[in-house]
Amino acid sequence: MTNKQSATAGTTESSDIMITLKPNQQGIQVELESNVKKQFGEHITALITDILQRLAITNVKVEAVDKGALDCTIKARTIAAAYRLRGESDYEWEAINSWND
Amino acid sequence: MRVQRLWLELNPSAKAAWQTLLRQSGLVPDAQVDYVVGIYEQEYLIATGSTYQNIIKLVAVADTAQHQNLLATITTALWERLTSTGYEQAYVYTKPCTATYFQALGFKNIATTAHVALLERGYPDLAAYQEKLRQKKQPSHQAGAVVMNANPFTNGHRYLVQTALKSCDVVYVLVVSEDRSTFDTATRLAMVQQGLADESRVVVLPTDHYLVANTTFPSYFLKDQADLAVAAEQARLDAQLFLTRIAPVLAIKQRFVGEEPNSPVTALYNQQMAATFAGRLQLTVLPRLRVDSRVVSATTVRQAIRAGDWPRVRALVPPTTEQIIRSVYHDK
Repeated sequence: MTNKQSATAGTTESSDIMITLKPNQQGIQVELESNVKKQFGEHITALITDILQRLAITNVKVEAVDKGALDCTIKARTIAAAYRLRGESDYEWEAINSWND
Repeated sequence: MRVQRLWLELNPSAKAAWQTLLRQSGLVPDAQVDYVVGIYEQEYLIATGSTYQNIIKLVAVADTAQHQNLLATITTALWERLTSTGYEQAYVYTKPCTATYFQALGFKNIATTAHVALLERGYPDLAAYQEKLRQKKQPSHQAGAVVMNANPFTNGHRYLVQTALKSCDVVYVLVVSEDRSTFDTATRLAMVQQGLADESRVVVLPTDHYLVANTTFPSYFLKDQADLAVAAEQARLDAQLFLTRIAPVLAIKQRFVGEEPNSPVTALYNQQMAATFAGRLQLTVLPRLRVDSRVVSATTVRQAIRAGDWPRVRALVPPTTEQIIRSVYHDK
C-alpha cells in the first residue's frame, strides 16, 4: 500500500471529532478547533500527539475539528486517520489495546 | 435523520421541493449541479446541499429545522461523496456571514470580499501552495508579477515580462493552471518556461487553484444581478486572494497587466484589481504590443493557427512557442 498525502476520519456531528492528517515538514503539529478548547484544548492536543507517537507517525500536521468528543472517540478517530494515511487496514488490536493497561 | 440523494431529473416533486427550499433561503436554484442530497422530515424537505465538480454549493436548511445541526450532516455526506469519487479538496463559496458555520466544520478561509467568502478543505491546500512559492522565492527589492494563461505564449507576453523587468529586479510569472484552454496546462507552462529561459531574473510558477481558477462561476448566491456584476465579484475575490495570500509570500510589490481593449470582463478585472490593491500593491497596465499596427493577442494567434497561416503565427510568437505549436499540431 502506498502512503497517501492526507487522510481524514470522523465527522463534525455532535460528540464526534474530525481528524485530518496532512504532510508536515517537521514534527507533529496540532491545530485544534473546539468549543471546549479553553477547558480541554491542551488535553486533546496531548492525547492526539501521544497516539500518533505510539503509531510512529512523526511528521504530520493535524487538523482537529472537535464537537465535544470523549477521549475514546478522539483516540479511535486518530488511529483510524493514521491507518488511512498509511493505507493500512490490518489494525494491530493487541498493541492498541495494550495502551489501555 | 437520513440523508438521501435527490434525483432532480427523475423526480419532479423532489425538484419542486428543492427549488422552494432554496428560494426560501435566498438562493437561486441553479441547474449546474452533479450531485444533490436532501434530508426529509416526514414528507417535507428540510435540508439540502449539492456539489458541482469539487465545489459545494446550494446548501440550505429550512427555518423550522435550524437547530438540528443539519448543515454538518449535509456537508459530511457531500464530503464523503467527493472523497469517494477521488477528489481530495473541496471548495465552498458562500456569503461572508455564513462562512463561520463552514469554518466550524473544518473549512479554511482563503479569501473574503464584502459579498463573497471562499473556503477550502483537503490537501494540497493553500498552505502547501504557499510553501511551494516560498521554495522558489528569490531575494528582491522590487519584485513584480505577471499572471498569464499563455494560450499560447506570444511576443506580447514576452514584451509584458520584459517591460516589467525594466523596473523590477525579479519578475514572477504565474501561469494559470486550470486546464480549460486550447493548449493544456503542461504545454502552456513549457511555452512560458522556454520562451523566457534567457531571462535569468524571471521565475515561472503555476497558479494551481488559487488564481484565475477558471472553475464554475459561483453565481448562485448573487441573485438578481447581471453577469458583469457577478464577474466583478469574482474578480474582486481573485484580486483579494492575490493581495493577501500570494503577494506577501513572494514580497511582490507590483503587478503588471496588459490592457484589454476588446474584452469587457478583462477590463473589469483590471478595474477591480486597481480598486482592491489601492495603494497596498502597485498595478501597472501596459498598452498591448502591436505588430503591423495590430495588437498581439493569444486570440489572434489561435485564429491564425486555425487558418493554417503559419507566417502570421511566426510573426506573433517566439520561436520556442512556434516549435511547440507545430509539434502539438503535428501529433494530431
